Amino acid sequence: MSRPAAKDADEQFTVTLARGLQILQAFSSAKPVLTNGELVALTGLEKATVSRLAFTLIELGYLRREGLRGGYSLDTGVLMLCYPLLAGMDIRQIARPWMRDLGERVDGTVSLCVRDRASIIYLDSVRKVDRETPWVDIGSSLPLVESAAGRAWLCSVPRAQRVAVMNKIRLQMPEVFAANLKDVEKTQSQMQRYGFSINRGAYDVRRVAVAVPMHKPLHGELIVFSCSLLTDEPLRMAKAREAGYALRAMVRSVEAAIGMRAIDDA
Amino acid sequence: MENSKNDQRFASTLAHGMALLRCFTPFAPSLTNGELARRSGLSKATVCRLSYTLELIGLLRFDQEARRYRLGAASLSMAYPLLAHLPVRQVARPLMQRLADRTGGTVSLGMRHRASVIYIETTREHDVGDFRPEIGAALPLLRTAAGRAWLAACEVAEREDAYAWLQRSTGKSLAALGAAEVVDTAVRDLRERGFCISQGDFLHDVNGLALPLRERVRGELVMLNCGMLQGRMGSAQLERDVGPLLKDTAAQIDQLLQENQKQVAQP
Repeated sequence: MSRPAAKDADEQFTVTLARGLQILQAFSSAKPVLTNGELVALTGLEKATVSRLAFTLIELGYLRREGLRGGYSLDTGVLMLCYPLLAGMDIRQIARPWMRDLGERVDGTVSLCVRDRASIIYLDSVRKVDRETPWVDIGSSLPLVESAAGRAWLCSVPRAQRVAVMNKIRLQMPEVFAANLKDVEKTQSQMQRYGFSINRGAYDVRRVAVAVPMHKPLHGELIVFSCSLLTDEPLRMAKAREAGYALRAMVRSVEAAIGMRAIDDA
Repeated sequence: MENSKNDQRFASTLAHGMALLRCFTPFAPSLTNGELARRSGLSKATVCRLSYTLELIGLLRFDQEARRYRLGAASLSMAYPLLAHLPVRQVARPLMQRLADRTGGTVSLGMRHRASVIYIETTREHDVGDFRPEIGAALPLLRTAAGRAWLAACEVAEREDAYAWLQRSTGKSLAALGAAEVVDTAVRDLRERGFCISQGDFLHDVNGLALPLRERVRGELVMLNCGMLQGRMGSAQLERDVGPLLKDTAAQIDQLLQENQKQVAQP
């Protein structure tokens, strides 16, 4: 297996591919339909480049025309890109009954997350369908340093990896980094003391979130479970700890179910 | 596809990069550059450049321990804007789970994409041979209950479009594919029984029932599907016992979708 060395990294970078993906990644749940002009503004690419790449992405089934005003939206083909990843993650199917059960017991949203560069991404989420509950779903993401799951991830991976990721975040998002550094450090002691991280809800400050990573990586990736719930101020910490302990017990059950041996759990 | 590839606007480097992502399957979740080259038919030098770029973007992840590429989670965040705008998934999920629990089948929602039905939600309870029902799974239109339900309920123009894709993807004529017979049966089944049927036509040991929801999503039909291992339940019992439950579930989903739309319309 050969990987490009750092020195010829620039030559190895395929600009056309990266730009095409930039177009797909320009869409968001807030802006699911974008015009050519909006794509130009969001990506910084030239109009002709956007048109050519959009044409190709439509041909490939990842983009479709939307409406009569020259808009684009994602086509169903993008789901096919996720399929091998989701179908290969048996952990979702195995964990789902436990997640459902815990969600009902603590009246909260229970999620399963992985890291993608500086973000944590939801692989699955069990939530109530009502207007009060934030709409988190497969594929939604949060900054690592801002979310309970992300902070738990940061505090559980080997030191070298944590330092490398934190350095990247410091360079790419200095303000986000500075605003969260203290809380990430606080998470270290939470993890040691309780085995879970505690956070205000990332989508809704009236909520509280706790997160527990698995004991070891699965297919080279450390998976984190999180649970968020709505609480009133006087009970916030008590409720959070209760949910945290319940989530920790759930994660240990899931680990046992997939045959992951605990190393240091007495 | 050939016509468009000759079009000057077609960016083949982008197409090649996307083709690498499609080399991964649930049964080949990790691949080396050499394996990617074999599967894609691209040169190893090209594959190295593309996989390096995909890794930087987060669509591939290099597993240091195994020294192989895996799909990265960025594909999920890329699909999120689409998944988030299919509210039918969230609304239907508890009802689908209840149906799956009651029947022992796998309940899914699918939408048509070209010559396939793509699952947008599923309650995966069991795997069947080489097929794992999961979001993003692509099923053949003519051979599955969900595909037949779509063919039976779609507009004429939509069917023409699907026919064109079927011919393009298989290289066969509609007559050779037996499309007319499949559609005739599907239309009759949907009218007379309220659902369409596959008896081991896609997976030899799985029967399926499916029907379209009344409400369209993103202007497209959505199919509710229940797949059942033949060893668990024969096709007569499936139609008799599960058929009515499937229709009830579809009606409940439609009702919730209508209520949701009203809520959105009058906040």
